[in-house]
Amino acid sequence: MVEQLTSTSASEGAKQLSRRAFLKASAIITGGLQLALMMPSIAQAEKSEDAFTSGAYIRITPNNQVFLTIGQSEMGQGSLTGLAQLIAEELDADWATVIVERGEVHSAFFRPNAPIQVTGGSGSIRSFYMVLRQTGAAARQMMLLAAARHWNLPIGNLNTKDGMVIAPGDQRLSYGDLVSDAGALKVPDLLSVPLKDESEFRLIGKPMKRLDIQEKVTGEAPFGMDIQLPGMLTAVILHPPAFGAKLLAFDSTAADKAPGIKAIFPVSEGLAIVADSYWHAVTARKSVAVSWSDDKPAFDNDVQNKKMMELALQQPGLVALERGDQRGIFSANHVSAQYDVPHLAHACMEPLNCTIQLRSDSAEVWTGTQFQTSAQQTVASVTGLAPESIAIHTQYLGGGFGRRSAQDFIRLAAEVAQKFDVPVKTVYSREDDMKAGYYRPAACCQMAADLDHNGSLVAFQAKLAVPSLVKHTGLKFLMLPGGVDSTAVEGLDDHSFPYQVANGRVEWVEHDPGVPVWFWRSVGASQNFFFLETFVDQLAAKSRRDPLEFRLAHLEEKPRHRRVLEAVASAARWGTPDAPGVARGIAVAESFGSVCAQVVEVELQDGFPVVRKVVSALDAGRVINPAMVEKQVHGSVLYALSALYSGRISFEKGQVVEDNFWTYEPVRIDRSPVMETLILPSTAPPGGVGEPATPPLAPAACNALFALTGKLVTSLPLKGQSFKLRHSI
Amino acid sequence: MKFTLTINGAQHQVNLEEDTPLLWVLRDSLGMTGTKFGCGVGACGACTVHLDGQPVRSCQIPLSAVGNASIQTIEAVHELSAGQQIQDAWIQEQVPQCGYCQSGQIMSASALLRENPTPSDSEIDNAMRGNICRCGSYSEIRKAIHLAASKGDVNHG
Ligand code: FES
Ligand code: FES
Repeated sequence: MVEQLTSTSASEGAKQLSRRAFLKASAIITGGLQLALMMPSIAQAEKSEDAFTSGAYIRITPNNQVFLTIGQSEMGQGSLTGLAQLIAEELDADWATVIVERGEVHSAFFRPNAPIQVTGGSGSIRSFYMVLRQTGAAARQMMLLAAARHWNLPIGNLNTKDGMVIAPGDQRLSYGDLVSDAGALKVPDLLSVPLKDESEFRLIGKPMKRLDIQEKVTGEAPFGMDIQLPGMLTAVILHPPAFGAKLLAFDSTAADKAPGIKAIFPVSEGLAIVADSYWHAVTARKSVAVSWSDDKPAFDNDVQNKKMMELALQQPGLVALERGDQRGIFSANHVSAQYDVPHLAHACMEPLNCTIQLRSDSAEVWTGTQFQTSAQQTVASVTGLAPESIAIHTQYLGGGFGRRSAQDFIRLAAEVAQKFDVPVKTVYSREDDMKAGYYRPAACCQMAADLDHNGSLVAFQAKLAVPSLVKHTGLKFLMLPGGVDSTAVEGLDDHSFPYQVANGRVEWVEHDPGVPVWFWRSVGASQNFFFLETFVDQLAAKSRRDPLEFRLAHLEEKPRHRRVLEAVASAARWGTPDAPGVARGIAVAESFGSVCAQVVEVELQDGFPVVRKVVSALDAGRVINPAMVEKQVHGSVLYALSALYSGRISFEKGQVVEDNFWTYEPVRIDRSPVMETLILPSTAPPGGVGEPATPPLAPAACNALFALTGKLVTSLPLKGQSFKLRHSI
Repeated sequence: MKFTLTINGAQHQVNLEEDTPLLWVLRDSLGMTGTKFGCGVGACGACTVHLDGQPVRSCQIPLSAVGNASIQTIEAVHELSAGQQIQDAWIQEQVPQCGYCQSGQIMSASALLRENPTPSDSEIDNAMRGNICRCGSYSEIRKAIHLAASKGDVNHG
């Protein structure tokens, strides 16, 4: 999500940040050194030392412990470890002494070009790559200077390694020995502090083990769901049966008498049932009688929504791409197709939850959020407290995928907590989590293209009907000039459309049926590359060209696309004959500053397509931790595969049908394909890694299916569609 | 109603309705939050514990059905040699991403290894398909189980 947060390159972003940021050093009570990144405007507002320390990046103690504070959320992607590698690299810290701590809300953790603390858009490493290195390097300089004074030697004669300053003759001082002297020094300017040459990297580019691994194999890692506080109560919400439905009346006579029940009262969306335990709350919920207004989305079921999207496509849209001749340019050689995809739930493994302790002038919030500043604002707007008086204690996130940047569960938790002077944990059951919305939007797309007699693309048209995520999220910076929502047209607008074409037009029609929609792993790219990359195989077929060759011929000015395509083709031995009953498909997609190509091998088992193997090639710029990047590719592939096979949130009578993992089925281990992942070496600034391997999977698999069966897949998921091998048609 | 449970070798008294699922007894009454809530309907495996050595979904076991069975949870799985080997292999292969499903995965995998010290891929599939991982750590899980198996000398008790 949130591509434009980081649309400037990492180095530009870091420069912007550095220009308005400075480091502040202080000797802390225990005599250690603390370095904190400060933003001038915010620094003025921060009088108290507490606010200052909460944003600290680096704290080195006299006994040589190096504490690094990380403000980004850890949701499995490994940012806690990757960001620590950046600081420790330039600091030349001893990795074994590094301890990471999670930061509270602080300007030091804001994105380079927006005053928001958010983890999303595959942006953690991209946003903080330079500034964290610079911060580590500044601390190292201070150690060197303190040691130079101590020994009365020129700084040029000194070196550092593993948390030590080393002088000729192998004299050594540990950073811990130097902290009190270093704390008194002036902090070097961030922009001019020397950084390591890549040949000197010891941590960047190395598969360091996750710093959170131990607690994640013992059950000790604290997730939001695990918070337990003295006197704490647990709330569940009886959510409206359809989006928009309002609570008209309720009768809780029976539920009020149920064991452990403390209170039952209306909240902005539904009814809160508060008890001394989750089981008591969720059990009592069943016996509340409720009547709701019959408000619902603009459609009753998915068939109706599809019809509405098709109607929307007949309306004029906003233009996202216009080139050359845009009229009806199509010859007899033209190709056209219409596609649609359903709503998708994120279904994070940890159901949504948020614990809040409200006091008269402050609040504490324990939750797994991807968007700390928004959480602060949300609680502030419900309670009337000042945002600064609301502490957000970010816990480990049991999955995020974009869902945990939404605020519904935090807002409801704040409404509930307002009624109590003890902490209250508000918990979504799995059913609530799945039915409460904030889905990847359903979308519909028409595409048409014309080919010349050589099989070259001469004209391309696309029209999309999909809601505006800018409208739903309020993040206006995601809007392109002309009022086009960048998330709606990702991959198809003038800036991001990859293929060479002289004539073209892409339009977006905002279609909003009243379902809450949100960022879902890879956002607009998750559907738009399914449309585009399956369509490209149709063009290749029409012109009787190999799908890889057709792509390469139209990507002459896209070296990164070419590179990943060539790498994946060679690893998957593209062009060699397929085994009987098996076919391969290929696709490529650029998103979040990285480019990923995949070759997917598919066979039919009892008429159902099964993905046997996925080969991925990823150009993510410079990679900080290749082991973690590989796991993000695996995770993205499986996330996309679940959606491809059976992912669908469907509607009946305006209400969501799927309620748990029996009906919304993630891929399980027995359907997990063989995966081979190539991470291409690069010295370019880092790109994103949490999302870019998601978009190519569905089109590559559908292209394989087309090769295998001759059937063009225009609608997802595959479940419910029937396939037969091509020769038996 | 009063119940006495044997959890990780220690006895615990609880006074709760007999239909309370073991999952919520562990988490809410006894503060043992290593066992996770993922679905509440037996579909995800996040709540897996051992009941007399067998992996079960604790969200589907009412308190009244526990009887005298001995319960083992993630908090003490390292006391089993298979559990310790699985945890070591999990670290070696860096299995967890978000980590939320992993208590359940480790409980299922250690029960598998105890029964079957050298499971094949399809035996791994059978034993582990009840455990969902939304982060997609399956290939690492498979590797880690093979790694733990290859270390051998798993105590069959
Ligand atoms: S929580 Fe018990 S199986 Fe999912
Ligand atoms: S590691 Fe996140 S759900 Fe498995």
